[in-house]
Amino acid sequence: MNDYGAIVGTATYTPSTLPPGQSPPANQPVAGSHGVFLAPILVVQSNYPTTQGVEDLGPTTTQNIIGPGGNGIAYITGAPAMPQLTAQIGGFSSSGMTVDWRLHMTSERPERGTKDDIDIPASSGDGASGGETGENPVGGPGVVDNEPINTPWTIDYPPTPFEFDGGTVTLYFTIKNAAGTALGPEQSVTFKIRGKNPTPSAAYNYIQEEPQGGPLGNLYYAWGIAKHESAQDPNTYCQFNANSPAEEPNYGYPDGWGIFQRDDGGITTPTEGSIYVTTDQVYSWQVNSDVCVQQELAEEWNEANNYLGKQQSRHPTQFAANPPPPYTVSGKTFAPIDVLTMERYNGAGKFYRLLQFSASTGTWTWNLPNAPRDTEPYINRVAERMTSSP
Amino acid sequence: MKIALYLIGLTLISLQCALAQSIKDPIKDPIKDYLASSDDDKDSAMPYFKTLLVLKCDVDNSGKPSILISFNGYGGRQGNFWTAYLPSGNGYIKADDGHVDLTFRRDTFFVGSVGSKYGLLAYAAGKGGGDLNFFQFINGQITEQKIGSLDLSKPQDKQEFENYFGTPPNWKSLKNYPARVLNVHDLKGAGYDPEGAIQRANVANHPLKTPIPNDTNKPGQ
Repeated sequence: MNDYGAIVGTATYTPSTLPPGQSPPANQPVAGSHGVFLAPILVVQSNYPTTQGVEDLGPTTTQNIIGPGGNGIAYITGAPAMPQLTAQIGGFSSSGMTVDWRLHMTSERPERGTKDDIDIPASSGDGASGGETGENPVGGPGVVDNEPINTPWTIDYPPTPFEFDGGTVTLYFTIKNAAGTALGPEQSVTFKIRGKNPTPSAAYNYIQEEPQGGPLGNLYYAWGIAKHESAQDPNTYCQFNANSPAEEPNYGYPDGWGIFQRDDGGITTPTEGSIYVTTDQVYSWQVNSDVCVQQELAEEWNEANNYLGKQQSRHPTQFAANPPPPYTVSGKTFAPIDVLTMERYNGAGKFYRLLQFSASTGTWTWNLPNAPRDTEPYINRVAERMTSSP
Repeated sequence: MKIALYLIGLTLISLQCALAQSIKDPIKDPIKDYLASSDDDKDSAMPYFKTLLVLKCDVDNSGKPSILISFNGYGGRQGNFWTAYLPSGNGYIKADDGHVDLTFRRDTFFVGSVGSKYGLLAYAAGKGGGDLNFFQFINGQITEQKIGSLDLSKPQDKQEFENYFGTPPNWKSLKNYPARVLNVHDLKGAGYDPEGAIQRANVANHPLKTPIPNDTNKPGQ
């Protein structure tokens, strides 16, 4: 064993005597003396959150993920930020040896299928830092090749929509001698990337700063939706599970993800028209919020706005005299456009069933159904969450 | 008075003619009919049209496929709002949805017998579980009945859910009834006029307030 903990030596290989008629395997080593190494691998997160529990209060430290003291779990912080990871082989500090690195990530949530699978580097040549030699010549997962063995490999994540990702990580490495010859077959280690949640006040403040999300914005209740949708009481604003399986993405049947339970109805490609739930939305509470507030809720508010405007033009006298009434619950009074937007988000029904016009009285009345598996309309539950902030 | 009676008579005659015409001439092309038809609710969402969703499944147990049509984003968590065209003669009749919204998610619906009845079973997603809503298509009319709620933390409820709908992401309905997803380009190529439908809705809409801009850079996409 050398000073870095690597076991280095030689071993003699002697093929076993095969029974008559049986052929040796095609990849059988050559008989004789071979180099042997058993090198320690270290995976380190430099922004490891130190807060216990699923909420992240912010402080970070440097922590082994694989190696002494490591438990095999790296974390997306509550900021949120992806884990800043390096990988290094120990034991060959100035030998001229090199390492080829690659990484594969796949979700721990089977419901996501392969949507979150990534390879780093993504393809042959992508992100390679050591020249062209040794890259995968046929495409598919790439290889960061010929990294000096005494230099940590810094794992660079791909751009959006995979800027945030997590799950089971398999880190592959091939150690090569100074002449560039692999000293053995490719080896691998696995670890997890899971996530910490923001504090409720951090999530509340961020959503309030979304366009239209503030107290005077058209979508001022967005924070109440997030709080209700992602609550795993007593925890709220859960991008990642507070309950079992803890720290994995917060999933709700059939296809709800993260802080707003973003849901695209199970579509399989972004081209199908609905607002697709990308990997970023599953692993970043901020991206999840951005898409929900700026796209989904904005679109539904505009639809409600169109509908109410149409009612005004269709029944101008009645609209002026007795406009659609506000809706009050849990001490909160919501304008008709707020009610229609929230109920449409939940999918409660067509607008004209929710807000019914009586030609005989010239008035509109609310007819809100209970939310699924509930004894109250959806908006009532959001209003309950809004009685206390964050 | 005579004129009024005459006008009423004319109206009744034209209504009868229209009814007779609809019986004689079933809808030949549901997609064309869907794009041409308009109501306040649908018009409100039409400006965000990107893709038409078309399903084929035998929802009325006639032995022939019905055509179910919706478009992206028309609905919410509980599913899209669909229009059903039921086979009739050498065409289709539009199912009467005057009393219910035919609402279901593409990933969680079942078509077939539930108990002794035949129809479309939809899962309406809620928190921790959801409702089972059963739609029947009888004599051209749609009826809806809530037949239960599922608590997916309970093994027996989860099993019932999986029996009907499968396990994510391997949803039975996505496999058994894959939607034709037609974008504007596809529709125009097939001779339809989606842009006309969008334009018609835009003209019909009169927003109450200043719309929220929806042409800004989209995050996360």
